[in-house]
Amino acid sequence: MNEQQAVPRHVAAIQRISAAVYAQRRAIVLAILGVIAAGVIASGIHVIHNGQRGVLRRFGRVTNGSVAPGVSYIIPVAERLDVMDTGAVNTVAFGESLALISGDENLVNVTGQVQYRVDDPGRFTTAASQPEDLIRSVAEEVLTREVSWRRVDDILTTDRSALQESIRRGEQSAADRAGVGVTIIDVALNVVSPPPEARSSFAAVSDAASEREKKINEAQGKAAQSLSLASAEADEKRRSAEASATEQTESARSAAASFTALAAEARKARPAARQRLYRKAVTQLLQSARVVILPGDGSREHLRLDLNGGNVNPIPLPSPSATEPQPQPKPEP
Amino acid sequence: MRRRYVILIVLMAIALVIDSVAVVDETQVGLGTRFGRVVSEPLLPGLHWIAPRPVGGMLRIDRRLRLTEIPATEFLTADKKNLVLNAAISWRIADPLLFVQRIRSEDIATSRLIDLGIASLGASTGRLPSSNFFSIQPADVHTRQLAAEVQAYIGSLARSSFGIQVEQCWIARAQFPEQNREAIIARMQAERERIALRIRAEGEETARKIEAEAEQKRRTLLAEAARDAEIARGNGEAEATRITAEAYARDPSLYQFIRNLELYEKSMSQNTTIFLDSADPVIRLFFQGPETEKKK
Repeated sequence: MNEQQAVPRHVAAIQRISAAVYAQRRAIVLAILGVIAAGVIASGIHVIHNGQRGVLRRFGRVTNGSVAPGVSYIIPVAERLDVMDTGAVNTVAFGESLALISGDENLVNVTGQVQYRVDDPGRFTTAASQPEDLIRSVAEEVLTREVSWRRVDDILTTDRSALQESIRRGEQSAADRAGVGVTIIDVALNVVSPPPEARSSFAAVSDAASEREKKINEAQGKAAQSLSLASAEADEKRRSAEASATEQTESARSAAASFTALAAEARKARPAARQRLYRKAVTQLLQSARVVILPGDGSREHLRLDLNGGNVNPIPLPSPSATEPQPQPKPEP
Repeated sequence: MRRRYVILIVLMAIALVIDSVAVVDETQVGLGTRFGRVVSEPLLPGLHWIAPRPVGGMLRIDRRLRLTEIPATEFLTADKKNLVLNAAISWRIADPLLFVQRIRSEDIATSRLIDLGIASLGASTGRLPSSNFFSIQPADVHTRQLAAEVQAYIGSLARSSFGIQVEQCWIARAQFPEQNREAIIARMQAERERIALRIRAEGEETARKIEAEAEQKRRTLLAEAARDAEIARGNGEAEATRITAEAYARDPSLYQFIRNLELYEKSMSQNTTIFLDSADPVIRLFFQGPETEKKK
């Protein structure tokens, strides 16, 4: 018991614990193995969120290229699950520092972006090594080609959407051919412009065009105004002529009416009527004209004036007793 | 003692098994090797048995579609215009064994493809005029035919020499060299100025045409109106004459008499001086009194 007494107390404690651990060695090893096993088993649990898809591989081979959102369990070591975002729209920019040549040999800058969605993450991650570079390069190929046969003015104005649509179609068929499992959602052009150095010259052309429109519009306005004035004037002329025609016929009608009345009167008492008319006329005449009376015998010989050395007959005055008018140049009908 | 050996043997067996399986990824093709020499057919993705190390091994070749972009290179067209082309080649390793035997490294493959591409592009571009690269006639633009030629050339060589399948070749960019830019811009500016002048002149011309047309229409309108007015007046006159003539027909001599009286009235005004003989019947009464008239 000497030896036992020589052993210090702490050494004795270590000896006791060792003995206890040694006695429980199986249980401890099992517990450690159990924890490791539990860890490995738990590592097989994966959560795929909304907007994500998983790519499941078993020994490297893709067995499910599009694992739906939710909780998935994979066999540890043998299987692998890669999760990627597929709900988001991805974009690839194209056309940077590219001076395109148009069909009429002008330089044009066009930049834009291709928007795509990954439909099949398995294909997207395994079919091509640089899918986005492929998308960019194809976009530039279509762009270069489409620009190369269009006129610069069309590219800058009307053909924008045609360019976009061509690129979209070209992209989709290239993506389908490469089998990268994407859908091209849209192609948007950000910049479609002449090179910076020539921008002001292009602006001058559009200024000229708007000036042309302005001039034409002004001319059309003026023309319309002048025509409406002219048509008003023409209308006025017509109406005024119609009015004077009416006046003339009406005045003729009233004259005719009064003549008819007079004629009716004259039929009853012909000389008296004429007398009356004659007197009226002479009265009026003597009222307005200057009258010089020269003494004479009624032969009127002294009234013959020699004007300009020629023989001028004085106006023969009708005799009041005359019942018939003097012969006169036939009056116009 | 015996049990310990058993455990050791089991552990070694497990290690051997682990060493004898090789995983080929979806993106790869495997080639089993023995002492570095390829001994297997191309192996598809999945788990494969191979000879354990150090005797055996597994070569893994990328089987994905690859993109090689040929850097911008200046070429001369048939009509001696300089063009800078960026072409691209998409390809994949179709014969892994040949690929491994001939070039092995992908970097070398890429530079070989670029060399072939540039050579082929140069030869094909030299045969085409620049109007086959840009023209307002869509049918004249032959960039796709050019790319197809290059593809055919590189494709057959790469397939037989390196086991590479060229999937597609295209011209991604076609530009003028940077040193030509200034001259091209100057030409564009001059052209724009010309267009602006033409447009302005067009505006002037069209405006004048519109004004002249309007003036013509205006005068036509007025002339037509004048004609119609004349016709209306003429009709009025004719009608008036007809009415007058109708009335005249009732008593021509009376009408004539009245017309004559009217004529005197009209022809003699305040400026008219009438010389009368004092014996004139018109005035006789004034001088001789009613008896004379009675006597007469």
